[in-house]
Amino acid sequence: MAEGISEIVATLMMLVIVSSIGIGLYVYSMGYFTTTASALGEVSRLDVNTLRERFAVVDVIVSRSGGGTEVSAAVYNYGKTTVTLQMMFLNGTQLAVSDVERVPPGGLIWFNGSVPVTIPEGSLCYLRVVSALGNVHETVVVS
Amino acid sequence: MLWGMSMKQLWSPEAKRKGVSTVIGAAIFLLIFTLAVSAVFVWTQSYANYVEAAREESAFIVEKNMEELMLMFLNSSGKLAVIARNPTPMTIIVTQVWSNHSVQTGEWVIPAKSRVTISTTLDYKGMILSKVVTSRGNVFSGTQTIGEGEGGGEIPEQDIMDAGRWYVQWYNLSARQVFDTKLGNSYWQSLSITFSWGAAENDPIFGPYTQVGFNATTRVVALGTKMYINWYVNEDCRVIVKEIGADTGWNSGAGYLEADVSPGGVYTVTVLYSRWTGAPYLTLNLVNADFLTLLK
Repeated sequence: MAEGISEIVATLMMLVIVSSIGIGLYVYSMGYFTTTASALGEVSRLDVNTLRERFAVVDVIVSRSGGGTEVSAAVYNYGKTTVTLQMMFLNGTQLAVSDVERVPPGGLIWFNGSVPVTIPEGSLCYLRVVSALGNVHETVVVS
Repeated sequence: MLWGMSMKQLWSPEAKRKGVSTVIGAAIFLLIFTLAVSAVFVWTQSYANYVEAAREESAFIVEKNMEELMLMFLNSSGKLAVIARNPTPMTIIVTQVWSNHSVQTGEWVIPAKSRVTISTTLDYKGMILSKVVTSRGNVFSGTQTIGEGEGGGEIPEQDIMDAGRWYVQWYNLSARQVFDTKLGNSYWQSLSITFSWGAAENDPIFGPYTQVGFNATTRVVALGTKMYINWYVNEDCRVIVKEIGADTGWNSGAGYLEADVSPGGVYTVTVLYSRWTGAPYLTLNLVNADFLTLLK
């Protein structure tokens, strides 16, 4: 009788131990795989959005005032996703942009930036517009 | 372990009880395995989405590069009108028309192999300051209109040069380097020219004419502080850069002009060529310069 009880207890204990370890493993695995899948999904979504983002600078106005130079770039979004314009560079120098601009699909906006240096009239400049997703459009302008 | 067991041991009550934990272990393994498989499925699905997006993007780039418009910008009572010819087998949609820094947006559909006139409310500012933008993000200007005036009108020399061409006028010579009678025009499209024709003195260059010359002029934008114009000619050529007063005089053989220029500055380059005797050839190359179309 005693032997039978100890066998039941041993079996129950074994069940509890195996179940505990198993459940622990399951919970850990669930967290790991869920996080991994979520991260991979997010990376993939970002990559796809980066790939689908399309914009072009179609016109540029360079003007000088008060010892500084202001640049207005007409940016056209010819893609199907909204483009967030983040930065602008003139000959590698970052311009101070007034605000982050969002361009809806098919939209055309003027993206403005300024630099506290007067760029001589007729200078050849490379203007680079950068989106929040890291896409770049570069164009040559004469100030 | 199993190999060492007898049939009795395998079917004993002890073996049955041990099987309970095996079942639980297997169930948990199955759960974890299912999780892993679902994670892999999510990853492969994401990857498939990415590949599909890349494929769509590639197809779009092909379509974008296939777009071609032949444009003519007209002055219609002070307003800009655009005649757009679509020589491609696909429909093109023009979404913007620019005149200087003013834009008119809209949707003008130009079916395949057809011609459409776009009337705008924009003031006409000349061909170089006009352009159109398509729904696929291409920007087209009027460089393709050279050589054929809509309605029979001649295109001004200035427009030809601003559109990225050499304006080449051919002459019959009465003596070496003496340009008498104008024979006709050409429009060259490269800043690297190789002109070579015939070998003998009596080989014609322009129709029946053997002793001819040309006056080729274009406007370029300087890309550095030095602009070089190199030539190799049998006889004779002369290079003039108007804005800096440079004139090489008449040359034969190989030579070059080193011009001090301002980056972004616009310069008018004229090349005169005179063939009197001998093999007619001229190789010309401009370095640190590009046609004005770069600025569009």
